[in-house]
Amino acid sequence: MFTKFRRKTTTLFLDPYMEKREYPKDRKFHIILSPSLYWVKKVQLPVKYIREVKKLLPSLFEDILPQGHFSYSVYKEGESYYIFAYEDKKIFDLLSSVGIASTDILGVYFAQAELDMQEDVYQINQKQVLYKKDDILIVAPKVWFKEVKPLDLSQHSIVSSKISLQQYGHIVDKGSLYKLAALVVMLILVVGMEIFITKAKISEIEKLESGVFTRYKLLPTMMQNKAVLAKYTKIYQLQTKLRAYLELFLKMPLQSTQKITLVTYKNALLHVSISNVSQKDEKKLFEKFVAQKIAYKTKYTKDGVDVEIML
Amino acid sequence: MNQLNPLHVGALLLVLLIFSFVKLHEVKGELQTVQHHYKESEKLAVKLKSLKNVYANKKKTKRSLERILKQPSLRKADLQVEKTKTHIIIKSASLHTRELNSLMGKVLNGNYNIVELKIKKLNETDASLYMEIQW
Repeated sequence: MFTKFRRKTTTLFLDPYMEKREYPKDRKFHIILSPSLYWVKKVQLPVKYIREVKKLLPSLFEDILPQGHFSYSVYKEGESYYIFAYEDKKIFDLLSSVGIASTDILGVYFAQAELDMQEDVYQINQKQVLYKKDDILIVAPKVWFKEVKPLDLSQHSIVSSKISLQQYGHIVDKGSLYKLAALVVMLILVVGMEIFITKAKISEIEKLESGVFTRYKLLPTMMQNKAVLAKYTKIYQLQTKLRAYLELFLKMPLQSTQKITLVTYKNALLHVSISNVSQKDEKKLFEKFVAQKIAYKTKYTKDGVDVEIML
Repeated sequence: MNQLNPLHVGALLLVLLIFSFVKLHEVKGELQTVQHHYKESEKLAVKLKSLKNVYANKKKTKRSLERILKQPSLRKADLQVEKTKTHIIIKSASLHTRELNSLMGKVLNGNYNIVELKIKKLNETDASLYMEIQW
């Protein structure tokens, strides 16, 4: 009922001088790299494991590689190590120029590892051939050989492990990228921790605030509490002023004939009547009121003066 | 063999870093607001408690006024005391100035909410009094 769609695969020998041609869109590729696209050495090293060799690879190619960003690979055959250096960008650029997208590539392999050639000489483009010398596959001019065979990979089965190409290796060094990424991730984690700690502090302070409301029996909203506080603050201010102004009246430099006859206070209005006071006494009697910038009103009558102060 | 562009990964990490810093800034701002709010609430609560203790403590006001009125200097004074749910009224048609000074000295030195006061001199030694205190 269901048919599984499987895309066709082609094994392609990738060479800088290969002929350009159109490939069907539904095709996937195994790419075998021409020796023109890598540097290879067969070496014998006093180490046991491939991972130990990998660390040495840049230094083993140090003297022969030109300027550029290289990746390295190694495999072991018998007692010897075959070590490789290649430029990822150069390979990707070549694949792109022959119309193969990186998404269509199933794997990339070295011709050295993939092709078992023995004594044969294979033509890889119009001017060059591929042959083996001292166990190393090399590219040579076609004119050196009389007999050459066409390189036919239509029946070829992949035998070696694929290599991983670093598509963006030329932009950023992998090691530096990892270090930088690790640093940024660490920073993000530190900031994340700080956010977490700060949120915990917020929660703690909110609990404390809620405790204040319970402990002091406050009303549910701050607006209500502020209104109550304003009411009591007003009372406090009025009572303080009332006492302070009454004290000023009681300490007035009155003459023996001058007496306070009436004191009333209601709705924040203080009224005081003093007998036998004329307008010419005002400056002397109200000196402290003026000095303290207390606003007062006076009304002189035949009995004396009526003073009014709005608290 | 499609691989992620390291610049895209770097940009993503940078965006994440910027986002986390922005978030941290927001949270720090929130912390400052909460701290400010907490301090304000605590300050308000302490202030309100002390003011209520002075002006809204009926029991305390009643007890201290009764103590004043029982003073030896006021024992013989012709004082009328009326108590309502919200007020206490102390009045006298005629009170000796000595008794008036004693009473007013104590009331004015205490924390009472005097809402109405009327003292009228009747003669050289006497005065009338009307004083309403809210509790």
